Amino acid sequence: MSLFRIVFLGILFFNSVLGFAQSDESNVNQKGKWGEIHGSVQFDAQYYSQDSVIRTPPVPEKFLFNGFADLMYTKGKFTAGLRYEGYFNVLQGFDQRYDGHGVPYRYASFDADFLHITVGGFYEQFGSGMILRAYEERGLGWDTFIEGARVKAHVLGGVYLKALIGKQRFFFEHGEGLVRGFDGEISLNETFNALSEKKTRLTLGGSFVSKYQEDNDSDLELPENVGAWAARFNLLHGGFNLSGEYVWRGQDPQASNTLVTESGEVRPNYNTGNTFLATASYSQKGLGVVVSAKRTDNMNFRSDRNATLFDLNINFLPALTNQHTYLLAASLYPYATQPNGEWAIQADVSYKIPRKSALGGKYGMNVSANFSRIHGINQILNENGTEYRTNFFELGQLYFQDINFEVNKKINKDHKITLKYLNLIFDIETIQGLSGAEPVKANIGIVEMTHKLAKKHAIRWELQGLFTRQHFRDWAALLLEYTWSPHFFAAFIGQYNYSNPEVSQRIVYPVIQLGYIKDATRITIQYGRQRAGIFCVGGVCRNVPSSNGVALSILTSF
Amino acid sequence: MQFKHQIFFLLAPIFAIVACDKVSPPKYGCTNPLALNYDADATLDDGNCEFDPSLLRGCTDSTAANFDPAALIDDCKCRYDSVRTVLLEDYTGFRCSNCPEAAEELKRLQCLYGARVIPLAVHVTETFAEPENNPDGSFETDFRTDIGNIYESTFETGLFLPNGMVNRKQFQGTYYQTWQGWDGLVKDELAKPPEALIDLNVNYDEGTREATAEIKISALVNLNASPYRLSVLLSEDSIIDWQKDYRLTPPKTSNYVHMHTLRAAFNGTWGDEVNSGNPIPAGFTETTSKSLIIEPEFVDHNCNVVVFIFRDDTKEVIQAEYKPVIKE
Repeated sequence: MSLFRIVFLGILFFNSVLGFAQSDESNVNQKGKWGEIHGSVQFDAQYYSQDSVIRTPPVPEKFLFNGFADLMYTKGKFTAGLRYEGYFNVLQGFDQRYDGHGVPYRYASFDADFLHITVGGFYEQFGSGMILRAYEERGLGWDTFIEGARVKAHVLGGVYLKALIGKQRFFFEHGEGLVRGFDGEISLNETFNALSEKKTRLTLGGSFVSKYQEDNDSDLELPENVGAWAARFNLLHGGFNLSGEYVWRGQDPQASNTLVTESGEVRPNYNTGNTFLATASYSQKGLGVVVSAKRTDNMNFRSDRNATLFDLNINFLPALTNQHTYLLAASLYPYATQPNGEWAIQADVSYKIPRKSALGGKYGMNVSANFSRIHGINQILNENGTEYRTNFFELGQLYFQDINFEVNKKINKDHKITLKYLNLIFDIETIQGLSGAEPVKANIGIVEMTHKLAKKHAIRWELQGLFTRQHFRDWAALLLEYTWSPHFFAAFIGQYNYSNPEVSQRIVYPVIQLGYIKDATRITIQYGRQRAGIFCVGGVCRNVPSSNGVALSILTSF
Repeated sequence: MQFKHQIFFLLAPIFAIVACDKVSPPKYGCTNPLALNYDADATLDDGNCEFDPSLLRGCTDSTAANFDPAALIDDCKCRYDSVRTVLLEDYTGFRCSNCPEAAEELKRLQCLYGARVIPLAVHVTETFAEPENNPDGSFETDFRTDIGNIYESTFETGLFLPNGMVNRKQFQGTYYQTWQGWDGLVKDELAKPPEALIDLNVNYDEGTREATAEIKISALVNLNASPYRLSVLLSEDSIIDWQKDYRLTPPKTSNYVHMHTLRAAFNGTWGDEVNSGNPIPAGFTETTSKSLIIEPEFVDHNCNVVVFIFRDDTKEVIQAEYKPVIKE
């Protein structure tokens, strides 16, 4: 690490501590005629120890660090902000191309009557995001903000318009392609007085997004302008809600959607793409029902046709699966959206059994059930291998299925219990790329209890078991957490892969965690052995390599 | 509605009209009129032309040193004098089911650019190259090497497979490049004038299995950006072994032909300094000789010597060459 980096880190750390200590006073001082400054700082650091048992990748630097500092200045209708990012060097599991430091994100915005204008970097979403979503998910190392210009307008009662142009972030540079977008939405009940008092509320929206990238290919004729449009609606009537969005994208042969002929030859994909998402829900006191369906065909949409993996995605395709938070369920077999083709359905029911009923007892009881099932779509290639057709209703290979039930019950004023059961089918070959691997069929059982020991003191424990005959076979996990609210917590997490087919890999992964929380600051220190796994947010996943060592995380805002 | 409000409504349809191109896919087929399966409608060759065996094969590029005016069919073995060459490394693994696609791209580029592309396949990572102990005997061979593992950790080429390096040069901040981008990068590198030339001759003693590479380096320009080094490696072609391939059913084969597989180094991981690490003036020449005993399990008739000169600071390769251990 160079001297400059060390000095810079020191300044950043000092500033953040000082900023936190002085936050109350400085906020008062910064208000008024000089405007206001707000911000946040996040440090994630880890010291890595080599652990040959869990096959940790070598980390020659031993110590790695990811740091972020956001600053935002506001005065009246004017806002400006920036984010410093420093990777010294990039933490394991994140894209190594982040290596370095700089201020990739900076912007200024101004509210002028009906217009809101932003120049510089901005995050944005059109509709459900299936046509355009520029967003940051720091835990994934995902950041696709657009740098350019954006105008948002509220032109009539209930009419909202957005237009944008720019290039996407690509680590500390920009992607090659130019992104242009327009989005309009009208809330009919707001726009038309005659509808304003109606119980039924309808919102309609539409988007158009186009990207430009020069065609430098001497062999192929490639579209330099690739357009996509979307139409959406949202209908609300009492407890009923119906919403849907359809997206169409023009031809876009790219590295992420190639076709493979029967003889194994790789060909560019000249098909157009499309996707739709429809959701119906009903809710009333104590009951919620949600049913969703989604079909996606060739909807990789990136601002650079040569980009792959996490790079330069313009759109976001949500996963229609239950996003689990319990350790084994969340990190071993989570579903990752397949943008080149999938058919997905999900149903979710939650019900609160009333108090003082036979099952509900004194406090009532929450029960919920969730079902999701995702298939691929079958492509029938033409003779040339560059286009294909699909049968809309035909389901391809089963990629994923999750059936789960959860019961939450407060036993008395000091004790709560949660029971959960999951039944999973996971096509590990397609989703994780482990070719030739048998689909994983797993059952997961979870018991969680919270015991309030005294005022401000509580213990929570989880016992989890994952049972499968495939992949790494059975796992057990134990979590013990002691909380001394509102400032301290300590936890032990242990995972044991007790029936791994490779005997040397029947390993215990113990982790100890200590945390301190005060106001807007959270400090966590962790020591132990982390197993390799998958970390997903909304169907976007990254591999987390195994590691052993001490990790420190500091997060504060002011 | 005010005029300024109407602007937004006007923007959308204009945008929609101008911002979408419709293009036609290429028609794949054999584009060589001499082929038995020539397709007059084809616009892009699919690499599957079939020829009458009696047609003479050879180098059909008139700019090549070994141009054969009588040859009708190109044999993908054109050689060139005094031109820039490119070291193209394919980081791979026999349990990586996407890797055969990258190997095919390497083969295509070799045919396209002849001997100006110097191929090397480096098997890396536990995930994709560690041998398995399967009942059917599959995936038992360890193709990894110590030097390959050092290359992997130095250039971070094991983050995902397949990927590769073009002249060990960083593009967009990384050494590793996905195979879809190799062609453009190779083309750009080949367009540059050569900075140095390598004259390589290999002598082989079949009795002792000792291969000796006689190498003459000639600098064409001043090379003083950094000390320069010379690496000499051994690769092996035509190894028949297992390979995963997601395009097959089942997605693996025992008869895969592994080409250009890195086997050993003649002079260590990072080779030797050229001109003792001093600046190299234009016109400078240096002759050196490197020897290696070829391991008995390697098939000597399938082995090649790969030589390249690179900058010590950035590791960027400026020229490369290769020859079979046993003359064809």
